[in-house]
Amino acid sequence: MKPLLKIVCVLLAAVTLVSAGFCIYYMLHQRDVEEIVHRMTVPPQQSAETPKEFIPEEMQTFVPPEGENLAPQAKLTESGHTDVYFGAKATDGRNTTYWEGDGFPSSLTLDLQEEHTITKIAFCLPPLRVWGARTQTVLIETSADGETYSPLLPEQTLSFDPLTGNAVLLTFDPLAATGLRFTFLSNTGAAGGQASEIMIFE
Amino acid sequence: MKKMLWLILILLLLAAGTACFALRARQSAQSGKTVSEVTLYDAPSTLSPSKTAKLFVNGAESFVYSVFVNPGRENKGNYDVSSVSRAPMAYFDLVAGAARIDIELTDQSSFPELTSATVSPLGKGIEVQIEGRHARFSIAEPGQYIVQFNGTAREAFHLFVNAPEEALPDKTNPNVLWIEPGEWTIPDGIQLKSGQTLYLSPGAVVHTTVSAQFGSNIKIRGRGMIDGGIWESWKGQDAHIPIDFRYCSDVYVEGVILNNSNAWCFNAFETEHALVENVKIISARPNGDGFTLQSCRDFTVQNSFARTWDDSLVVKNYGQNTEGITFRHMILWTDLAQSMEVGYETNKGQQENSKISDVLFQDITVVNAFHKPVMSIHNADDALVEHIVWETIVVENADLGNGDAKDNKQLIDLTIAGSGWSSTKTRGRIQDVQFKDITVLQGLEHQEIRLMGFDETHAIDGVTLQNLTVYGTPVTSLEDLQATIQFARNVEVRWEE
Repeated sequence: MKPLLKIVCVLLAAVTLVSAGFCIYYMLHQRDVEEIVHRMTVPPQQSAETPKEFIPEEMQTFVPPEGENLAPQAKLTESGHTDVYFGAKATDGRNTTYWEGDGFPSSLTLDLQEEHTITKIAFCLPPLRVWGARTQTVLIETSADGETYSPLLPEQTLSFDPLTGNAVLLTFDPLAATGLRFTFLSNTGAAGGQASEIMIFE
Repeated sequence: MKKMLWLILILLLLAAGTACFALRARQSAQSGKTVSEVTLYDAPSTLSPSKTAKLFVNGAESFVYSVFVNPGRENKGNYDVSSVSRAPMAYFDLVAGAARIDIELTDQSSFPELTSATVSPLGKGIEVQIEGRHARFSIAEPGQYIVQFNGTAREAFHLFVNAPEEALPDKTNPNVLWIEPGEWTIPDGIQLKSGQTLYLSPGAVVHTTVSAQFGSNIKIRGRGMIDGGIWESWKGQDAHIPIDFRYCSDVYVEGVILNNSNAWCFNAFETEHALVENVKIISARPNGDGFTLQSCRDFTVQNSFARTWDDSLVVKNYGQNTEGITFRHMILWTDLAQSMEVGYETNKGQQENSKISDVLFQDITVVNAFHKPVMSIHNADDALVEHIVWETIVVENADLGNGDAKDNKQLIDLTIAGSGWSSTKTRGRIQDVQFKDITVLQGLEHQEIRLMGFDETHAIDGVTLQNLTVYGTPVTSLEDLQATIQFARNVEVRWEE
């Protein structure tokens, strides 16, 4: 064999061996997966913000009348409630907790323990935008003996709007009473009467 | 001769090389070049990542949230949160193929060394390779996964793998409320009206509540998180419920995460025709029930997750009758109370002829249940509870009875009795309850079942246990379990190959 041919043969053999080796290595080690990663970034912030679309319109705050609110000291009975929204939450002095009755009519009765001459009653719902505006129809009755009740006013249609404080204040001629009963007949925002606070003033 | 030998050698080598390439080409042609494609979402820059774990997906680092969990097994009733601790949580989208997952435990003091790891649901058969402080495995399909290290539930990794979102809402539509990525505070809450869609972008963390009343055709979508961290525990006063539907119909909720609620998490009351899909809940504070359906009808929750510090799934009657509830393809972890509960309140609204019927729990894996019963009906009012089915349930760890659970540590508990949650003086009934293909892998040495009617008139009638397996052993009679039976009739235990 000519030397040149020998060299060519040896080179060819070497190339073939190396190729085969690479091929086997590739077969054994190559991950047959193409990995693609997309990354979605978040614009930097210094602190938590309120999205501009959710910045609430300016909300008015309900200011109760001056004087002592007689309701927290009154003995309360309820016709019923839904879930954990007990009647006592309507007179606990916290405007973010509320009572919700279990249907219509639903009522709260306050025994003032002694006679008071009352002139104002405030109905409140939580002053939070999430509540949305709603209308409730309420019959207010008073009692001199805690047993017999008679209407204080005709049925009242009360409009609540968190933007205006989510509260309604009724003012009327002075009336002596030892008990008050509030019967909720309708509510455009729930399936029972609702009140976060009922406030009674002389 | 020499020439010939050389020629043969060269031909052999060429043939070998050609064969290798041909084999390789054939293999490639058969399998095709596979693609693993994922989408990772950065977190708001205001948040700090977990200090205990890092996550790499296909080699790229993904943000790991540090979320509150509660390994305490005692509800002291005073809204004590001293037992709350943290655990890592992350989420990403799996677009195509199988994602290569690498979790690195970075807190030497918490886990001085990593010896083992498991990925739940165990039924997926995911094998984990341990290398140093790394746990490596592949995720081939969307779902919710729990990675537990060194055989302990402590600091388990919560990994939520989403499918890519389809048909995103139109951002310019005035009925679409769109929350961009980032940390946001909307303390007044978001009240949705009929026809509206709320979209929480991936990478959004929103401190708010979302509610709707008397609405229809309402959607909540996205990959973002509703977080209650700005509020103290509700302490019986101010519950800020992340998602709350009341008197709604045609509701769709998909993809979001509910984290660190100050009370219960997902609540629906008197709501019907609803579908909840791929919603993930982690709660750690008192009364942190997961999915609570009160007096709902035609309501399905599926492909979702709940790790909760109170009942994980709950069906109750607070008003009208409950009918047609389905929970399916779910992963649960119950740190406190029951995993899948019907009751206790079965007639809170004190309706006439109150009834809870047609409730299905199907294809559900309970990764851990540490406290009270896994499957339970507690009829504490006067309702009729009927046609309740548990089907294809895997309880990976039924380590019940911890903390203040006392004797209420049954795997299955059907009880008719008054309780602190009762609203009626008379008692109800339970009938037609089926348990099919129930598997318990690990837990208490002896698993218990309790079927406790109230009296002959208010009894449990018709309970079927079909293909119940405890620690690999088929249950063929009630004697195979520690059973307490009273005022229960037509109880049948079946095993079918």
